[in-house]
Amino acid sequence: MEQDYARASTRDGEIIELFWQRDERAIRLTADRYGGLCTHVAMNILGNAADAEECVNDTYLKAWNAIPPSRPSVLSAFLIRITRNLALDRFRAKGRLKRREGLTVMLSELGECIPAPEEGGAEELMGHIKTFLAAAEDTDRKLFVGRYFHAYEVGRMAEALGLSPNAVSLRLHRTREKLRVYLQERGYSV
Amino acid sequence: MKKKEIKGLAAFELLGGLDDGMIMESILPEKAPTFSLAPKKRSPFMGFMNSGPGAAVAVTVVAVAVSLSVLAGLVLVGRITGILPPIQELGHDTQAPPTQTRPDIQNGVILPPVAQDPSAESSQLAVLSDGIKVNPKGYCVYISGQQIDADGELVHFDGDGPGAANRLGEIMDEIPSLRTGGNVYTLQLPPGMVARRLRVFAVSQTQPLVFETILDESAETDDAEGLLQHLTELRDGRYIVVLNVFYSSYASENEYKLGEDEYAFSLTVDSFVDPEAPVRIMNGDTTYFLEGYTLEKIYYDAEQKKEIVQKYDGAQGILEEPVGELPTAMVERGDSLFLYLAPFYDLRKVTIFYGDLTRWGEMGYDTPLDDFSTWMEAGDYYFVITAVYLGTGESEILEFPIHIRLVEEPKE
Repeated sequence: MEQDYARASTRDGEIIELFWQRDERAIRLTADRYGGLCTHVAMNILGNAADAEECVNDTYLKAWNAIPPSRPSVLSAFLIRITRNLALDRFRAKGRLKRREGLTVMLSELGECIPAPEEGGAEELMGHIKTFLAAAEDTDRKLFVGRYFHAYEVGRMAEALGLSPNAVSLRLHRTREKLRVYLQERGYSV
Repeated sequence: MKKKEIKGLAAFELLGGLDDGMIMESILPEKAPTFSLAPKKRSPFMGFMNSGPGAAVAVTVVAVAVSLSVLAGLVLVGRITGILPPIQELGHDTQAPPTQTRPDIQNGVILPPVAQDPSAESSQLAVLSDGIKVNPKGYCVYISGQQIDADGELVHFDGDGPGAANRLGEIMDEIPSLRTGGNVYTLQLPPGMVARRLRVFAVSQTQPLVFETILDESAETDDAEGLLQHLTELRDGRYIVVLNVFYSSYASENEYKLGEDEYAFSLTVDSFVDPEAPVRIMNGDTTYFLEGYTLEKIYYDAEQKKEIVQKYDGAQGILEEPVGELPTAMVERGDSLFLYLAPFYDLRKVTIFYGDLTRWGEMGYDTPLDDFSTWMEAGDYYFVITAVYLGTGESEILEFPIHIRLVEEPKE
């Protein structure tokens, strides 16, 4: 596992170096290596292959414009974030909410446990959420992040983790409830 | 967009600030994208692109198609499920007829239908939800002494059977029952069988037909998620689902013919999501929902044309506490009372006390509460529900008291 990580890091390092050298092979290698991952992220949010493809292409452009000056330590996470944000922008712009029932359910769930951050308070709120998640059980954290960052469906996570969909729903519910209470204890109104 | 969803969107955006490590550890292995039809339009009654009996088979398959090469049949999925479980887990007989070809619907290409070998065992409808599998051999729709006939009308009858033969079948066995926690509705049809029409009836005398979907040659399809959309929107309650199907069988080597059949099953929907509120009692159209011993009565007000939620504060604890403060479920003679436990709660017993706390007796899991109001005298009762919470490896015994008042006169 550590060797794989080291190899991956090396390959990411090589790709990032190509970005810095403004060598367009960086885009091709990024697409080869992380295109599928980014597509899945976009599809989870947009649910439409054509939109997802555009989103992923925009990701490469954004990455090209961001590196340099950025030198991300984990290229995949860096790309996922870009794709996710682009997908969200496109989602909002096209008013797709009504068509993505699965997503609206997920967003409703999230809206019940995390308050809207006040002006200038996003960083502090995020800090609390990270602290909470870091202390949570591994599986609960993976499920929470899987659902509310990657927008995975319950069924997919259940299958991947060898749990029943019921068990996943129950665990997500409990984690949301604990997070809600955790944030309330820290003065947030949820 | 609802307020909660707007808040959720802001929170979703906020979570973009999570650490790399948390993001990476929660990435699932990539899988082939599931097949779904491109949405054309939404309509109250969903139809499917059907250019003939052949195409109808594969079109119906739609919903969640990844494992079709594994499954012997066609699948409709009521909610997003992702990958279907392999057929071995479903306990089906996976041996396919020798002449069978399976439809290939990957990448949106719909190929000719599966033809059924006439020598194969007669088709059976398997209904799956939350791991429950039912293989009915016949069907006859019974709803507490009423029957839905071929036209969807509720017909009252006396005695044990419906009398004259009817289109819904001549086998008088009780139809299989399905109960779901609202997660996944899965219908699996054998090879060569196509869903043609789906009707859902509520167990109600006023307006039994809840909705109907018809596979129409001229109608366009909606996306896979919307296929059984209505099932996922059903309110908690009991329903009868009647599915009309076409099936094909070989008349000769190069020729097949079509037949038509109907299957029915009862569906109980209860959408427990709150593990702190594991007990729910339903009485007709009214739900008594216990949440931390605070009772909510949920009912539809015809005058205001909306659902009303009334809350009653109740005291915690079992019967040693002042019972007068327990929330009360009003039941009148003739009502059917349904007791539901949330997923992972396993009912052990129901202990019943009279209003003066004299013990009446116990009922085990197999004893239904449905006809409670027919065999108990009017008065006050206390039901103490004893359940074991299984959860994910945990085991905990819990007790929940319910106060039930059985009245003779109709409620005002």
